[in-house]
This record gives sequence, C-alpha cells and structure tokens, in this order.
Amino acid sequence: MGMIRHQHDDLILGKAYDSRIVRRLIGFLTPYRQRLWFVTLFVMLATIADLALPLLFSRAIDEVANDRRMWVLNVIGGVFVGVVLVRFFFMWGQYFNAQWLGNRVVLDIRNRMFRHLQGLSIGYIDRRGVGAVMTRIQNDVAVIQQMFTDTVLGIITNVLVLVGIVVIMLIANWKMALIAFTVMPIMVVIMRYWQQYAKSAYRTTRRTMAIVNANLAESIDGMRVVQAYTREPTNMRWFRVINGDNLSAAIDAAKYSALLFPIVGFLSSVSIALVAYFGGRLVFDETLSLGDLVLFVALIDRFFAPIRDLSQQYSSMQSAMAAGERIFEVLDVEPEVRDKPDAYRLPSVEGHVEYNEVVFGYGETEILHDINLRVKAGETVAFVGETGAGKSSMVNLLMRFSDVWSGAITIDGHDIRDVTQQSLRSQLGIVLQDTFLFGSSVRDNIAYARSDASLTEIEQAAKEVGAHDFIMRLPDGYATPVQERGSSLSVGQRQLLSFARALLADPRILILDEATSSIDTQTERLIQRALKRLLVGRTSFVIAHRLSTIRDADKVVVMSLGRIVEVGTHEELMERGGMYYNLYTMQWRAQDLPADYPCPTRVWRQCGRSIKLLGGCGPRPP
Amino acid sequence: MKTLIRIFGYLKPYWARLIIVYLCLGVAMTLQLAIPLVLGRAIDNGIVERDLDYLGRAAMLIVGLAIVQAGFTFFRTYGTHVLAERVGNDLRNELYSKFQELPFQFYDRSQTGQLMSRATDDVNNIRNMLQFSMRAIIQTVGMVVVIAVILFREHWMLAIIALSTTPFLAWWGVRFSMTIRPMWLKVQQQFGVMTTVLQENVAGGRVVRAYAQESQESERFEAELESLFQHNLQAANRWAVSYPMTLTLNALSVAGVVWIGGWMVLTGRVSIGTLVAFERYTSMLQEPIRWLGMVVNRIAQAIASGERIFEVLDTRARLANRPDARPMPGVKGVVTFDHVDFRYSSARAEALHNISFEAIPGQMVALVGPTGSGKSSVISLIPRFYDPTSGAVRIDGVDIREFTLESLRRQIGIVMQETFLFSMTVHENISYGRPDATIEQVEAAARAAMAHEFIVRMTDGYDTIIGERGITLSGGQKQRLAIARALLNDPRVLILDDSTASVDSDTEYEIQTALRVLMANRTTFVIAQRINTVRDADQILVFREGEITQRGTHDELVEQRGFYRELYDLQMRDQDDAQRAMRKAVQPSPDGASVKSPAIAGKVVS
Repeated sequence: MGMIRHQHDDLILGKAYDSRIVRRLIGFLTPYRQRLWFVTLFVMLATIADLALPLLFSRAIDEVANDRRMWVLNVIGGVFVGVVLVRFFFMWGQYFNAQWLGNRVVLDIRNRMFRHLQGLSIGYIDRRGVGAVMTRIQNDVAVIQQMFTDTVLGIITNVLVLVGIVVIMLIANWKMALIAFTVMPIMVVIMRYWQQYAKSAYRTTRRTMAIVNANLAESIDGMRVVQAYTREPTNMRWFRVINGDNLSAAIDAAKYSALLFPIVGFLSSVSIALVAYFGGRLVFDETLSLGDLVLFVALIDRFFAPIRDLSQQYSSMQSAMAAGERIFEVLDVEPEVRDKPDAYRLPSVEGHVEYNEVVFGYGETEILHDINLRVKAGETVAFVGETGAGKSSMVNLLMRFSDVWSGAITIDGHDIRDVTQQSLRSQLGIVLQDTFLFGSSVRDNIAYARSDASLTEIEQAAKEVGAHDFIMRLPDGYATPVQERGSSLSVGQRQLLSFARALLADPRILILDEATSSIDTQTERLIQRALKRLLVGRTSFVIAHRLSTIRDADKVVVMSLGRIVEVGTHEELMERGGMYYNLYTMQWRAQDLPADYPCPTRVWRQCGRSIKLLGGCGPRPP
Repeated sequence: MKTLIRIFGYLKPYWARLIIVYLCLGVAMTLQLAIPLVLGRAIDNGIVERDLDYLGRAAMLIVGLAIVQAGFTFFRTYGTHVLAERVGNDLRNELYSKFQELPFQFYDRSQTGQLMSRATDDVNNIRNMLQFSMRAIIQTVGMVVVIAVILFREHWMLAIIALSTTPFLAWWGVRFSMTIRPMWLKVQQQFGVMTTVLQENVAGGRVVRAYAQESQESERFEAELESLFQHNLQAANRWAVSYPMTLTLNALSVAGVVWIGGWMVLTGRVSIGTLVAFERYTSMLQEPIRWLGMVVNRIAQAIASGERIFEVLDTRARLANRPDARPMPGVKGVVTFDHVDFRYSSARAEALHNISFEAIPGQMVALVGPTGSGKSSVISLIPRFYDPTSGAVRIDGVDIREFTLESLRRQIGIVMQETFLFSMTVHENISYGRPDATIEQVEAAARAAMAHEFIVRMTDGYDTIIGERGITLSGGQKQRLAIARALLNDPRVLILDDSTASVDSDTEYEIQTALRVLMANRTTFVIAQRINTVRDADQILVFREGEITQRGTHDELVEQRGFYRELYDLQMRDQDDAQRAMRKAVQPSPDGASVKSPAIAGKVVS
C-alpha cells in the first residue's frame, strides 16, 4: 500500500535557457544598468589579471632559461606582485557588486510580488493555498537570487576563462594548442553521457527525497492519529521502504558524482603529459620556448575546472528557469477586481444597500441567481441557510472581493464598481468567523484599521465589547504580544478582540460571519452582549448561527442553493411556516423527535439536496 | 565534542569501509602530489638535458600515475558519499521510529516544522559534514604536510617562501568563518521576520483587505525587505573581501617563489624544473586551505544539528509497555476511573484531580464543562495517550497499564476534535487502523458514518485521493470520514471529542442518529458543547478546573444549580421561545408546507 506516490511539481526541470523568462528577469536589472556595467567590467578585469599570472610566470622561466637578465626578472616579479594586488580589488568589486545586484533584484521581485498579491482578490490565495503562495515568494525568489549572484557570474567567468585560455594558447603556439586540446573531444563525449545518466540519477534522488519528506511531514502532523490507531509498525515498515529507496537512489547518484572528478583530472593529466612530451620535442627544435611549455601546463590545469563547473551551473540555470516561470505565473495573474479608471471616492454613506438582479459564480459555476435585496440604513440583516447556500458570496460581493457577473450592488445609490476599493472598504467593517490576529500587540490588533487611535479610544472599544477585563489580566495588558494565530488566547477572547477592532474602525456597514465553534458559557454571554453593542447604529450583514442574533435581526434572509427563499423577521417567518420554520425546528428540536416523525430535512430535499433519509425518518407527508 | 564523537559513532557499523575509504584518499593524494615532481624532473633531465627517452618515460609515468590516481579518487569520493548517505539514512530511520514512540506530551509542545527540520536540514548538515568536512580536513592536513616535506627536501629556503603565507591563510579562513556566522544568523533572523509579515498577509489576507490596509502592509513588507537587503549586504561585503584575500595571500607566495626562485635559478642554486614544481605546489596549496574555513563552519553547523537531533532521540519515549504487559483480551468495555490525578509534565497545576466514575457497555457518558476544565484530559487517559499521576484507569476491572498499548488502543475508537486525514485514498484513510479490512467493511463503516453518499459522488469514489495532494473536503466530510475510521475498528470503547462541532445541524442530526445505533453495546464517551448532543446521555459529568463538580442525567442536572443549568438556560432559553413559536406555527398555514402532525405538536408542547 502506498502513501504518497505523487511527484512534486517542483521537480520537473525543463530548459536551462528560456528566452522569454530570461528577458523578463533581465528586465529587473534595468534600473541598475550602471552597476551591471561595473560587474561586467570587474569580471573581465579580474579574469585578465587571473590569466596574466601564468603568462608572467612563463616569461620569468624564459628569462632565467635563456637571456638570464636580472633586471628583467625583477620587473616580472614586480609586475607579478602588482597584478596580484590589483586582482584583489577587481575580484572584490566583482563579488560585492554582484551580491548587491542579486540581493537588490530579489528585493524588487519580492516587493513586486507582494504588492501584486495585495491587489489580487482573496480568492486567489484561497485557491492556491497559503503554503503554495508563500513558497513562491520565499523559495522561488531565493533560487533566482542564487542565479543572479552566483550562477550567472560563474558562467560568465568560466566562459571568459575558457575563451582567454584558448586565445592565449593559440597565440603562443597553435600546434601545441591543438596537441593540448586533443583530449577535448573525448571530454565532450564523456560529459554528454555523464550528464545524461547523472541527471536522471539526481532526479530520482530528489524525487525519492521529496517522498520521504512528505511522508515525514504527514506522519508528524498526524502522529496522534497514528498512535491512536497503533499504525506504528506498519508506518515504520513503509518508511524504511521509502527511505531505503532514497538511499539506493543516492548511492546510485554518488557513483556519477564520484566519476566526474577522476575523469576530468585524468584527462587533464593526459593533456599535460602530451604537452610535456611533444612540447619537449618542440623545445629541442627551438620552435617552442621552455617558458611557453610551462605556460601550457599551467593553463591546462585551469582549463578543466571551468568545464566541470559549467555542467553544475547548467542545472542551476534549469531550476532558476523553473522558479522564474512560477514567479511570473503569479505576477501575470490579473486582479479580478480593479478600480475603474474613472473610479471616484465613495463619499460618507448612510448605509442603504441594494442588491439588484445580482448573478455571480466562480469559474463556470453560477452560485448566486437573481438576487434582489433592499436594506435600509441601520438595519441588521441575518443570512440563514445551509452550507453552500451562497451566504458568504453575498457578503464577499459587498466587500468587492469579487465582482458580480451581472446586476449591481449599490450603497446609497453608488454602484460599488464605480468607486475606489479603498474608499469602499474603509467604510465597511468585517468580523470573520476564523478570527485572524496579527503577531503584534493586543493594542495594535485592536487599532489595526486606525493606527492613529489613542490608547483611551482603544480601551474604550475594548471595554464596550467586554474585552478590557481579560486584556488587563494578560501579562503586559494591552502591550502583550499576540502569538501567531493567537494561540495563547482562547477562541472567544480572540473573537472579542476582533469585535473591538471592528468597533474602533466604526464602519457604516458591518459584515459579521458568526463563528460556529463551541465556546464556554461565560464567553458566550460576553459575545452575545458585545454583538448587540457592535450592531447598534449601522447597517449590518450577519451570517448568523446564533438564534439570539437571528431573532434580533430586522430582516432574516433565508437562502438556499444560491437563491433568496424567504425574507422577513423571525416572527413573520415562523408564522409563515416555510423553510425557515423547518430549519428552525430541526436545529433546536431534532433530538427530541420520535422515530416515526416525518423527517425535518425534507424541505432541503425538496430544494434539490440529495441526502437520503435516515432509518428514523418516516414517509413524507402527501 | 561529545556530540561530535556521538555523530562519529554512527560510522561504527561501517568502520571497515571507512578505513578503505581513507586508504584510497591517502593513495590518491600522494599520487596527485607526485605529478608536479615528475614534471619538474622531466624539464630538468628531459628537456634541459635534451633526453627524449627520459621525457617519454616521464610522460608515460604521468599518464600512469593519473590513471591510478583517478581510480583511487573515484573510490574515495564514492566511498565518502555512500558512508554519508548511509549515516543520514540511519539517522532518519532512527528519528522516524523515535517520532512514533514519543508521547502526546511531546507533540503538545513541538511544532511540525521544527520536527521536520530535525529530520531534513539537521540530518543533511551531518551528512554534508561526513561527506565533505572529514575528507577535507584529512586532505588539507595531509596535503600541507606532504607538500611541506617535498618542498623542504627539494630546497629549504624556497620552501619557507612557498609556505610563508600558509599559516595566515589558515588563520584567515577560520577567522572569516567565525565572523561571518553571526552575520548569517542575523540574515536568517531577518528572513524570519520578513516571512512572518508575508505569512500574516497571505493567511490574514481577508482582514488586510477588509480594513483596506494593503498599502500600509506593503510599506511594512518593503521595510523588512530593505532591512534584509542591508543584512545580506553586510555579509556579502565581508565575503567579497575575504574570498579574494585568500586567493591573494596564496598568489603572493607564488609571486615570492617566481621572483626569488627565478633569482636562485640565475645564481644556479636551483634548477628550472624545481622552480616549475615549486610554483605548482604553491598554487595547489590554495584550495585545501580555503576549505578550512568552510570546514570550520560546517562542523559547527553539524554539531548544532547533532545536538538538536540527539535532543529528540534522547527524549524519554512514550509510556513503554510494562515488562509483564499482556495483550488485552476481548473485553466487555467497563471503564472505571479510580481516584485519578493527572498532571501534564510541563505544567505545574494538576489537570485532573480525584476523578472517579464508571461507564458500562451500552452507556453514553457525556463530559461537559468550560474549555480547559479537564474533559479532554480524561478521555486521553483511556487509550493511554498519557498515564495518570496517581490512581488508576481500568477496563473490565483490570488496570490498563497491565495491557500492551497496541492491544488496548485496538479496542478503542477515537474521533478527535481536529480531524486529521492522510494524503491517501478515502479507502486507505478509513481503513487506517485496519489496513486489511475488506471493501465491504470499509463501505459499511462509511455508511454508518453517513459518508458513503458523498464518497461515491466523488470522481474516483473510494479510490479518490484526498488531502494536500488530492481533493479538499469540507469540515463535515472530514469529520464523517474520521468517524468511519473509528467505527471500522469495531471498538468496544468509542470516544467522540466534540466530533460534530464543525458540521451543520442537519448533518449533525444524521450523524447522531447513526451513532445512536452504533453506540448500543459499546461504551461511549462524548465531549460536546451543545446540550442537544448530550441530553440523552446516561451519565453527564460536569467538569470544572480538573474536578467533577456535578454528575447525573440531564433531568437531574437541570434541577440543580450549577454549570449545567447555566448552559441549559443559555441554550434552552432560545428553545423555549422556539416552543412558543411552534405552538403558534402548528396552526394551519396557508401554503401547507408546515408540519401539522399532531405527534410533533404533542411532543413540542409537552
């Protein structure tokens, strides 16, 4: 039996050079053109200085072997030291500027991605998942950073060195150069084969490793379940199998990586032996100086390392291209909601909201059909209905997290698509079911929307929702840091904080998604009281789960399958005895029903739900 | 140092290979170092003396040496890789097996990410050290010593010049790695800060958008990026100076050899061949010495990683089976708590104090009380996720510590508050505790948990892969799969920890109805917040601050003052209204859709 058998999409490597991606990546360098020139210049100078050293050494050998002039040797020695010192500055300039560029570009890319993300609708993050979005901004960008700071620089340096060596050799003695290069074709052929085999071996290693890691992560996450179901022996057996797969893949790959060094080393030694032998003969004929022979030996030594490195840089480029593609994929996502070019600021509103013939959906699926709803300023509207009825879509549209397909939503007569999102949302407040708190202090969390609020105002808001008391009991009161996802605060306390946040923002229109999770009695009381306070004097839309909230609402909107089924006050709807009535009775009386009672879920089924009846439910009434 | 020795201890099973690997390393290194010497001789005796035979023999010797060297190099590289991989593999296996043994307490205080990094990053660090650092140290020391010996034998004065910068190089390398480390740590810290801002904005995107804080957040993020850039730049600057510096120091030695050596050739004190050989050797020194810095760094990393890994490995394992533990026989399922006290190892206060009760098969025991009052602690003592500090938990009158854990847990079914499903097929998830279950059994469990309907509606039915790499399920669907998973075990004792909290009320009703059938003959424990869920319980235990403050049936408890009554009031005040409303609604309504059955009216009014 298999646990995780799916290949990670990160592992599929493609081209090492994709002109489209490279061009766009280079686009990020344009603001720093000047520094780019510096880097290029320094790289060239450093390479020249680097190759000058063996050249100087060979001149010194010639001098001591033939002319034997002391002053020339002194000049060569002095120049040698000079070149070494100058090379230091060239290299320093090269590395520093390359690092600067790489880091700067990465800053820009991350910044761009972040700002882009802020402009995208929340649905994008929902669809992609928090982890996936994070990975792109963190890891993929880091790969690009490596490309800019190390890989590209390395490739340029290596190519320059190779070209430089070939040129110097050809100029010094073309016959010798050809002798030195006789091993090259062999090298190229071997490298090709090596790469082919090594690549698939490395890929297998990475894939097996990813499987091991995924299994580990899941096992740790679900360890309580593992232990509760005593799956330890089975899991251990399985882990040994996949871990063993990884080991054999790694050992297989080790064979290839262990081959590379000896092969390159051997070929370079053969080349040196050839040069020594045939070069020696040329020295006898005096068609080659001893110094040149030494030069060839030194250059051959430097020739093979860049070739070896280039193959590694090739795979770095591959992963950089893949990362680049993923980055641009994010940057290319068009925001679903954009301000119109002539969007104006929404003036201060009273809070009169209308949904006119609203149709909306995600992708191909229509979710809301022909929604019409009028809400007077100051009214509290409670949305009621089963999961997936369209309650959340109703409020998401009002927030303009998405735009309607057709129809319109207006606030005080302004179509919300005609105003800027910023001005719209600054008059809307939202309290979410899953309270999100930031890692900052309690105070900063309450004042999230109004960073200019005074401490008195903040305390006032906290007092009004009944959060002040527990905040004061925290170690540092209002300055206490809230841990990530508020782990040190209880669910109820976190909700109260988000109430205080909304109250301080004092929006004309409030959207509230009531939490369903169970809270203990005292907190439940506090929350019910706080809710009442929060809803006073503003237009409120509540996705309601609490009966008390629903009963107090001015309008209860019953939704089912993307349509508004009933609208009215609690009493009116109870009188009507329709869907609301049934929902209501089921929710609160379900457990008391006798076995032969006609199933209360029948109304849902009439609306198209296909849940089969349980054994306890009798026949439908005629 | 102790950590390092312990890490090396993992090489013990492979000691024979280790010796072979280092022998290969020695041979390969010596041969590599012989080549410049041969080359020098070839120049002096072959080229300068115009002896073509000698030259030819020298060239052949170089090729010969190169072949043998290549062979040995292959074996030492391959050997070190394999050793490192094996040790890494062993460590991972050991960690995994440890993870499985660690008690719940351990997972209460550790985060998945941290534990993951033990098995990934930390193991990698150790692998890298074994693969690179050990070889590098031996090779560095070996090369410096051998080169020094060769050079001093050739010409002592030139040898001093050639080796003059070596100590500085070594010192510089080590110092560099020491100074750059805190800089990298700062970079990492700042990266963490940046990540937090990012995480908050991605995970809390709704709040950011709802309060129109996008531009403020973008500025905050940019400020963190800028700070990260500055930290990075500092480290980069350090590196950009240091790396060229090591190259320069070495090149200065080469310059000394060329200049002074050339002068010595002119004055006839050394031969040209010797000069060439010296230049080669001096250049060769550069690389291994440069490694020193890296080696220092990596060893430090490996030690830190080793400490983290051993910390996990040394954590006391779970409540081990007693030496005389026996498998639990098929039991009836009478669960008795006898004066149980319990304290979490990290906490000072007792989580449970003097808990006593008995639950018999067919009974449903409900546990209610505020958050943190001890309900969850009680139920986690039954499958021995923890052991009581004093007192005893018994099943059919036998202390559960006398049974083996596996046999005990196999007869207990648990549905936890937070549903966890694995990235496997639906079938594999349901049969998680009984991988050998037949498809009929799995389906039966799914039907009982009201999950069959939605499962067959999925594209691949029971073979649909769910979780991170598969399709996403709603909270209620996950719950139902978890219930099916628990039911498949046909447990004698069934534990439901607020398991219907996240499903909507019609689904809850259906699940409850289904469960009621299944609860017959089993001992069932239920934690719930809704009065509706617990009111039919045979026993309701009310918890407050780790003690049972009230116990009885719903009807008894409603009569008493206390938490249960409060809870009832809070939830049922609404219900009373409902009853009143329904009384009105029972009147015939115009559209005929309402329920007019006298049965319900009677029931409601009563």
